[in-house]
Amino acid sequence: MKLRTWILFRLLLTIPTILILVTVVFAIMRILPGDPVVAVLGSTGASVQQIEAVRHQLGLDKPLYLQYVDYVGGLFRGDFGYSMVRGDPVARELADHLPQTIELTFWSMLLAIPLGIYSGIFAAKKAGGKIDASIRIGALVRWCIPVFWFGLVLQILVVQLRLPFPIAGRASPRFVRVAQVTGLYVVDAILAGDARALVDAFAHLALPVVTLGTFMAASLTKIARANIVDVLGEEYIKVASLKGCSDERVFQKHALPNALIPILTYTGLQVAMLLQGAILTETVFSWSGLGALLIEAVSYRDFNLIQGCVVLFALFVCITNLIVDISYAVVDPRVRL
Amino acid sequence: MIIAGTIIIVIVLAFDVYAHIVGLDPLVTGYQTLSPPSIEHVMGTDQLGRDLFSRVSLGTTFSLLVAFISVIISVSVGSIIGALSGFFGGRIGQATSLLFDALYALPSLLIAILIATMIGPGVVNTGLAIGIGYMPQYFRIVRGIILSIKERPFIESARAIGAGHGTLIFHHMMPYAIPSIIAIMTLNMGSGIVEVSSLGFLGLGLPPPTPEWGTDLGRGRDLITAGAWWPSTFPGLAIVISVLGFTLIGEGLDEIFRATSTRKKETF
Amino acid sequence: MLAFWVVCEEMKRSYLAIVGIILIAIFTISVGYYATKPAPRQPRQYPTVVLGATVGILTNLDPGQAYGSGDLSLNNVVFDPLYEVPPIFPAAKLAPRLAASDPIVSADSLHWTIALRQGVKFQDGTPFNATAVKFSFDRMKDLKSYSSWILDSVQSIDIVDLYTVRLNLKYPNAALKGALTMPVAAPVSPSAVNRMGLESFQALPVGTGPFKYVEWVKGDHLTLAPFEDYWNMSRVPKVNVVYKIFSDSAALKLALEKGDVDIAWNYIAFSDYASLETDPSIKHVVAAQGSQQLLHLNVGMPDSPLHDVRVRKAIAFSIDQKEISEKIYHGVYTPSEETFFLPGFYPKPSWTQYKPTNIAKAKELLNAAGYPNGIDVTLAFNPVAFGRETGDVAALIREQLGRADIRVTLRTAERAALNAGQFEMSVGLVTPDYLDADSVASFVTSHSWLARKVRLNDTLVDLLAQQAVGTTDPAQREKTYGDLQDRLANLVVFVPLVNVITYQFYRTNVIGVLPYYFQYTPWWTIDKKTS
Repeated sequence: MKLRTWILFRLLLTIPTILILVTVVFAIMRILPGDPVVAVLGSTGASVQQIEAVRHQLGLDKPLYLQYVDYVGGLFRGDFGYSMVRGDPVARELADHLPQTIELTFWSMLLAIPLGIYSGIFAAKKAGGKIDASIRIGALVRWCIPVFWFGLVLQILVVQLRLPFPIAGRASPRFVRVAQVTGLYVVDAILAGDARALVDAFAHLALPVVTLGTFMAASLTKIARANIVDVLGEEYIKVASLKGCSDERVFQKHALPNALIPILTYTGLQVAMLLQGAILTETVFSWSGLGALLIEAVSYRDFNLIQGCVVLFALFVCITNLIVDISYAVVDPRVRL
Repeated sequence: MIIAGTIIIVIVLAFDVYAHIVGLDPLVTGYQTLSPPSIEHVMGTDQLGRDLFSRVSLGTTFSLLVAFISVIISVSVGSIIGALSGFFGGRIGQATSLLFDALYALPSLLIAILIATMIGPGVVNTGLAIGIGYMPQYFRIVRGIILSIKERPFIESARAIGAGHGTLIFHHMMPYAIPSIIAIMTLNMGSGIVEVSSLGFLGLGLPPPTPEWGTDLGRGRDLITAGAWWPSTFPGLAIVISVLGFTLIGEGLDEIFRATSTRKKETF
Repeated sequence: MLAFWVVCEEMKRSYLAIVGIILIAIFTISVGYYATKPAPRQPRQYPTVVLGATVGILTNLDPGQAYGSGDLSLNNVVFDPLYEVPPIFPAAKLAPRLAASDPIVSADSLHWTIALRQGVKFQDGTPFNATAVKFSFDRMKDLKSYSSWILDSVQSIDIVDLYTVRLNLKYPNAALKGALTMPVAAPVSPSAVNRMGLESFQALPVGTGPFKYVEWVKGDHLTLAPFEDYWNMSRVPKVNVVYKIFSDSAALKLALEKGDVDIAWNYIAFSDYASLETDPSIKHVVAAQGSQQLLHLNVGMPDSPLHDVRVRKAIAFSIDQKEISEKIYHGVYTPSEETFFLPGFYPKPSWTQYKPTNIAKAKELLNAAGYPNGIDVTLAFNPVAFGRETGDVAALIREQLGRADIRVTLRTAERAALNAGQFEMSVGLVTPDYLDADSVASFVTSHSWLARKVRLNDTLVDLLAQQAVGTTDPAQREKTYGDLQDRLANLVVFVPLVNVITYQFYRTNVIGVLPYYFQYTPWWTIDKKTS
């Protein structure tokens, strides 16, 4: 079918996915024992009547299906509801914490993609040799190290060896940022022309990005290597070789482009893993992003906030999958049927 | 590779068995609090004065047990629903596919967190929480395989001679999925261990004072600045080694199965 | 094959071009936006003191709504309440701040007439008077927030004249003066509210206090600057304060040691106290914060042995407060003498009847209650919300109770589930909201959520609490609260563990760091030596 129609269909598919997720999370949260109002007011002298009043105000005493309809209706209007614990709109909370997570994941992938793919390519070229073996083992071992433990060990090393890296947070207290344009500290520092703030932002990014980035790179290495080895075994590579092309040219012009597509596709599909790693990395390094927000919301049973976070995560993943699928369809017409 | 992996797992289990036989107690708090590794306490003691070596060795039991339960749950439920979905196809197939695809969009840790909060701590509960997150994987694989071989001649002939749905699915089609399933199962033992410890780290895992690697790691985190590196290091090492063992086995199996299927491709 | 590659090359080139153009466009637009934004004023002539904290959700600074300890502490210096808790240790009588004198209470205790201080200005220059007080009060009631219930007893407020207001109460409430010390009752600038709109006001509210809000970067830090026209000239601050939020104490401790933070205001882990105390560049001051850690016993769970008060007393006799205090808190938190603790006010060591620990007595009581072989109970706690030591406390309690054949199963639970009363026993923390015994007594009356949680419904307790808050006679209140403590000690629904104290660690070049109660932070005394 035509590309445009296919893209439309694919887009429409995202909506039921997100709707299902919202419903599932809604159901789970309402089944959970525990009341967000009591969770918040429950270290104060508030009386039962006062708690009931607040519950009524938050709409928590309405029947479940009404609450559901209200919520989903709100979603379509872009209204994520109000955080029961903090009192302000969930959308604002999400917007406040989103840049942190974006910054962390962006730089981690910026490290992971070249690191992972190049080591994979390198290993594939020298397939069967010692270098190949060591790269594969290295990636495997790194994959087996839990993200949070790796971060912890880095922190321990910094503390024990008294290295100058900061072990938590996004920036030193001395840097009172005047302009918060994007919420991405690196970009803001560049825009403000503040070199010291820029260095500071990178210093704080160092440990978390290494933690999350090397983890993602490990899985990319394996896939990259496997794909390239497969492609190198294909018939047309042999043909190109026989035709007289040099090894390097064969690799660059024939093997690499064909292998890159599945590799990049796979990378896109790793978003879920990336977010999972981000949740743990944010906890270890006290990075107040969406992951940390979610964990806190869960402990308070802040229904709206949890649902908002889950929807955002799902959107993240769905959109990335969408982009991957569309690029695949653009490049390979066979997929579009 | 598989051999290496198996050896590692055997060593890990040996620690656990030794701890059980010798009767080490992970709960006794009588010792000196926060003492570094020494001859009496090979891994040191934690903030309540418990011997860390006992805790780490006995922690093996729990981590492996929970991971095992999670794998069993996700394999059985995921595969069966996947098989049914692929076999019957049509609306049901599409619907279940959509449902599991949606679930697949969420990180499995997230699902585990939500469910663990819902049903509370406990060995089986945590296993269930983790297992649910991994179901979509098996669903997809089995459904995909069933779909691809549904129209093959040998299935047609089996149908022609009167084989019922059950026989068709389990006797004829599932065996094709088994190699992939086994490889993924082993890999998921590894990821399962990582998820159990992640939940423990976040405070959602097995109830205290159960010696669980992740929970001990989480508590040890606050002790780093006091100069105590051992409560965070040793449980983590245990995690890495056991996960490595299972992953090696899984990767080895995966290679073998892929090699055999490529070989099949070449004989055209 | 070749054609495909050529197409790729072509696509690549145009793709690159498009991507390049988009990037340049984004960059130009952001630079343009930034360049045309006016830079906010930066107060520069004062030295800056960085205050590090691991608490404070800080989502909404509106005093009519703010409820977290971080929000309250900050608002305590940006707003003046009518009455204040003077920064004196141990606690002294509440003193007038924006009020000019003590309130005149009517004969039926239902009307409080308060004279207001004159010559006070808001931080935006507008004058403070009775209109502002009424505006703030009505606004606070309208907001119907989590914190408005503190002034629930006040029905309405009348303006008597430009500098006098009258509060009309629903019921007699001797603790009202204490409630009026909270920022929720502090006057806000009406013109600022009307001018700024709700959202901006909530980000940087305007009051009459010694500090004013300058900047707030959510989740990161907040900047306060001295209000030079503050009415009390002896309290005009000499420094800017940057309140920086850390998500865990390890980072805070490191920042303090490095000098990135001048004062570590709240929650450094106990395991770090030893190393900080030996650090020559760091001093500390103790604040009796007034919180108390307790064991909550649920008396209404079906099939639970805790119905029997003898069983509960057995538990009381088995707990070893001293061991908890020393082993886990390194002696910093001290064992509680009172069933409900309120620093400096109506002390009565009502818990001493259960000390010292007596395992034999506990077993005897269990036997008498019909459990010669001990009992099995569940103890729940939250592993992260009240400090990571909670898990250790629970483990230690399990051991202690185990000595008396009380077999404990531990469980972690989320805050919400804990507060819903799902478990037989739970570890809890009680923090009064303001410095009055009623703030704590209201926790145990049957219409409180806490009483519902533990299924406490005792008429005598309710009666005593009501009596105590209904009279303003201090001697009478003391006696009644004493009786209340005794009653609670006999009921054994709450088993007190330790009294919570906070250390503030600060660098030696900072002076004027004073101890304080709850969130009544006297930060206007802080100064920084430059040499």
